[in-house]
Amino acid sequence: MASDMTAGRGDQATLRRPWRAPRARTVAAVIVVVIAAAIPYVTSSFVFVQIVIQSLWMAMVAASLVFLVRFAGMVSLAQTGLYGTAGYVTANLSAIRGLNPWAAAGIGVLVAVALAFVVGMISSRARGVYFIMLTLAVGVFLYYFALQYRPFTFGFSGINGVRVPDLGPVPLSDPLNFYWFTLALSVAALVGLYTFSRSPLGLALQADRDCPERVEALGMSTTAVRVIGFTAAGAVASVGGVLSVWFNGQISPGSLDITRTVNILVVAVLGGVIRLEGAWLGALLFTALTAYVSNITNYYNSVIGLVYIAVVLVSPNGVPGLFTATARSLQRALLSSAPPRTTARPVNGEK
Amino acid sequence: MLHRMVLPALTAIALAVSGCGASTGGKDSGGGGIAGAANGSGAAGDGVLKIGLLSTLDGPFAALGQAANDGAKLALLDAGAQRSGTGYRDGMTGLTIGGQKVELVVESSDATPDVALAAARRLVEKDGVDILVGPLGGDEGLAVKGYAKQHPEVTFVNGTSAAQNTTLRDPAANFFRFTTDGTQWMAGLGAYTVNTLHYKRVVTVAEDYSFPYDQVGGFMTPFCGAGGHVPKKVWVPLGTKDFSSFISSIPKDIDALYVALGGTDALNFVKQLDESSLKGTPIVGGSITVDGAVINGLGKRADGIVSAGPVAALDTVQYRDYAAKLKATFPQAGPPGLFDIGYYIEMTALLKALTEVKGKVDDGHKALNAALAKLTLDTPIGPVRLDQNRQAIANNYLFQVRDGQSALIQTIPDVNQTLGLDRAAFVAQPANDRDHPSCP
Amino acid sequence: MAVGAAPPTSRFPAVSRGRVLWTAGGIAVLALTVRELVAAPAVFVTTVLDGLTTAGLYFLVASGFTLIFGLLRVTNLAHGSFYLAGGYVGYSLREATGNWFLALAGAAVAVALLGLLFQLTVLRLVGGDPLRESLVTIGLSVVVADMTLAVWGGSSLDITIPPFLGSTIEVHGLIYSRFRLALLGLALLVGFGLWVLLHRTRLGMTIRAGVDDPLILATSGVNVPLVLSFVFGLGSLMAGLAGVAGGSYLSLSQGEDARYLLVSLLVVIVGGLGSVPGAVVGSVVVGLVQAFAQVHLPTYSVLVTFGVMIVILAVRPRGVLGGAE
Repeated sequence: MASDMTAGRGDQATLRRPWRAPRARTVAAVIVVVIAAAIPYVTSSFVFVQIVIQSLWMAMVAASLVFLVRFAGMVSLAQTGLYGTAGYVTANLSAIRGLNPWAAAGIGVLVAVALAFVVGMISSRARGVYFIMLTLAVGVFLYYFALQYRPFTFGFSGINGVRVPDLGPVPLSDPLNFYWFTLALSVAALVGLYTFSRSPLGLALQADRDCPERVEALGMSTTAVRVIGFTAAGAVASVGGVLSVWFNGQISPGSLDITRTVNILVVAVLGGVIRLEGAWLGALLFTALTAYVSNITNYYNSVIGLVYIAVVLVSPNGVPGLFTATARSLQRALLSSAPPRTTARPVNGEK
Repeated sequence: MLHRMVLPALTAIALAVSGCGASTGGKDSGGGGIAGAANGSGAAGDGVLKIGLLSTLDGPFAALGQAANDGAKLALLDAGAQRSGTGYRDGMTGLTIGGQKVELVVESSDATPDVALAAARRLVEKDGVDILVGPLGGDEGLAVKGYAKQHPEVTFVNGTSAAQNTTLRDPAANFFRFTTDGTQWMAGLGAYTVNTLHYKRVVTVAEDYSFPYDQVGGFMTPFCGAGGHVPKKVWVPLGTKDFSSFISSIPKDIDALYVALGGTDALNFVKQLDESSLKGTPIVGGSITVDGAVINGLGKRADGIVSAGPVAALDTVQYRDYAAKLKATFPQAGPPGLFDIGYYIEMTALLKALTEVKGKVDDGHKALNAALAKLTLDTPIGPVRLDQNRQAIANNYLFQVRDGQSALIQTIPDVNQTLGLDRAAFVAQPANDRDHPSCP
Repeated sequence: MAVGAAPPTSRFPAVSRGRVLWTAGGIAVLALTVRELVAAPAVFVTTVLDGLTTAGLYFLVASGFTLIFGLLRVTNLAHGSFYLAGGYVGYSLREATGNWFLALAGAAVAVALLGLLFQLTVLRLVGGDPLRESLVTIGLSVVVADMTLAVWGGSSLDITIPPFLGSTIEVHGLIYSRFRLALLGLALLVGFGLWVLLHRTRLGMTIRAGVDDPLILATSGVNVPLVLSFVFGLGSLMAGLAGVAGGSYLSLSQGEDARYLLVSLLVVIVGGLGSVPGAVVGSVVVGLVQAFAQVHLPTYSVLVTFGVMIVILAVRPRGVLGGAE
């Protein structure tokens, strides 16, 4: 069950040494801020644009999935469909119909959020693997819609020539400005999703993940809780969709096909589905992997598939889980008088 | 004299389509997106002139991309370069033009515009290529054209992408195409169908995306003009393998079927057609419909099928040389086909222009682009020159299957992009689409 | 820790609304049938045959998927890859031996072994966590797609069918493909075989018990891991079999894996997860809807098929014969 994989472990990890956590967290935050500020000036143009910026918007889509898995136990394969919807509406309204790009983006997000609401209604009654299948079916339906409904989506060619708007006097088409803009939205999404998860609604969502019967017994509607959670995640995914269209200047059915759906899942799993920040790390790893492994071997798809299987097998918490596990065993080895572990994670070799 | 038609290399095609055109992708104003800086410092900077090669080595058209890479590399081998390895993704070195070292870097897409764009970006922004040759598919071409507008300091030479609108409407000043488009590939077929074969009522069957739109458009415009009628157009979704129910929907009172499906799909389609009450209906084929596999698979049934395309086994020195070299260099390659010849021509044109300017691109590619624009070539499939939009004007050929061989029956010389019509009037027409042109 | 769909909350109104919708749907289908039959009887009969023969192929693929789901609770997202791998292996065997039936059997066994290997080496490690189990099957599908591309190339391939199946039969002026009918026959045969296995053997009884209540089964002294492996192998075998049967009439190419995974999903979602009779109903519904949509609305036929699925789901979240919980 989804909750086996995700429930509570992250929290326990941070609660283990409450007096240490804040300091470690502050240090980590400072490091992240420094890196984020330095990246534009220390990386090559390619790494900056194609890996860093690309992973920023990709991570937003993945973060919406991580949020659903982590806090609601819903593995949604419809997130690519939702981000594609936002992307298509934005592209069509701005590039074809000549609407103000900000208005187009706003409408795109609204339409996708409304769609997320409907999809949530349809699929909220299903759980676990049923939910995976249903959302996969919805995602594929949206792909075929993009492919076939030419009057709006222009079929296989998709829509080209989507321009990036200016933010007041700041032209976002400049990679540096776009980076800061995307970064700001990423932080907003992160804070938003965490805030949501700690709100009464978010707590209800987590309760529903762990034991829907008790949530019902408390008089809450699990359907409502799940639909709202799904819609909130859909909003984050759709913002990612708008950013992707601006980034690429085009969108076509390939942007939401099954390969892309799998990619987002890979990003989420690589980043570990424990903390939302993992999505950004996963996306960074994934974009770097695809950009460089393809140069090394002809079988880079197999490499990605095997890495993916290995990560799922070895570390349920993704690549960061590998690091924390290693760090913990190091720590244990160094501190001979370490207290008995109480919150072991099922890491490789500890089973 | 019988000529073998040269599409057998396509035996392979998974989905009908492949390599080719597109016409009506969204309104393309070009540009857009976030442009990373090109990493190419050109020969002036690092002393190495890098050429990027972009085709489809992944996904359903992988076999076509392999043929394309063979063609492109053959042109470089001709000029004196050496292969770094025998793999399709291996680059090339060892060539010097005007004292500049020339290197080939290979990237691949899976025929979707998204992936093609990402691959183009890797080539330009990561590998720092000065010139990009590709892509293979029509919709990819539209995406790369948009990208070309963001990078005027890089020269783009087409692969086999045959979307009409890549060059017809809103072209990019640094995008050159020495191959003809999907509509040009049909030149001569529509009129021949009405005037010589006397088929007046024809139903078209093609996959539902832009390359077949251009093919059907290129067939129908002259066909309708000569008095033909198309009572129904059947657009099957991309990747369709089972045509039986679509066949049920075809009206019975027709003279022939126009089939623009890729080799294997065309074979399946005709087999399934002959398992229905439309058994034996004559077939008129698109540019990638009739290949060796289809002729072999259909046997006697294939006799009489008429089709059109830009590649013919000509009785010329250039063609014979090319065919012999291809076979000698790449023993595993099939006979010459659309994709290897297309990439060969584009790469040859580029190398010729580079030689003319002695490898100098440090003037912002001005001299190179000027040389490309006024280049004329004598290719294995006839003479090629460019029009004002940097689009090829070249011969097109008509074929008929006779005694198990595809025979060249007519050459249409110097087909231009507007099919000989007035440019302004031609551009003013609606672009080829599901519903355009129409003559029910 | 509910595994399946949530318990129906307001059972009574849902049922009555469902009944109204089903009646309306039934009447609409009946009316359309009569109209079709009057307008163009030959087209109607052909389309029905197309739908049923397609359903045969779909059943072959989806029954394995639903079996695996029913017992192991694994959404095997590599099921389409098993279909494709079976087709490619069958192609090579057919080319090597010249015997189509040998290719059919050999490919089915080869894929069953592949499935078993995967189940024993990878799936077991994440046993008990259906989600992670599904996730690793995605990884497998990526690897299989890449490997088949490397071995068999990007060209689409046709498995040569035996000559006696390669022609048509004609009844009252109606021409129809022998192979398609044979495909339907194979599906019926396999369906019957499955029925015998599940309802007339001890093993089948065990499997059915496992579908109904895995926990009780485990406590009753049955070697559950063995049964699980057997079912996973059997499900893979069916996919391999379908790959050869399908690849003989419709070519094999990259991308077919995703198509048949989706087909399996559609069929089991419509018919009900984990239920073999559900797979029969699901494939017939999907096959017929698809055939008629292709005749009348070719451009949007895919969307119609999915639309029908969504409507069925709105009425019966667990599919027509669903209820495996």
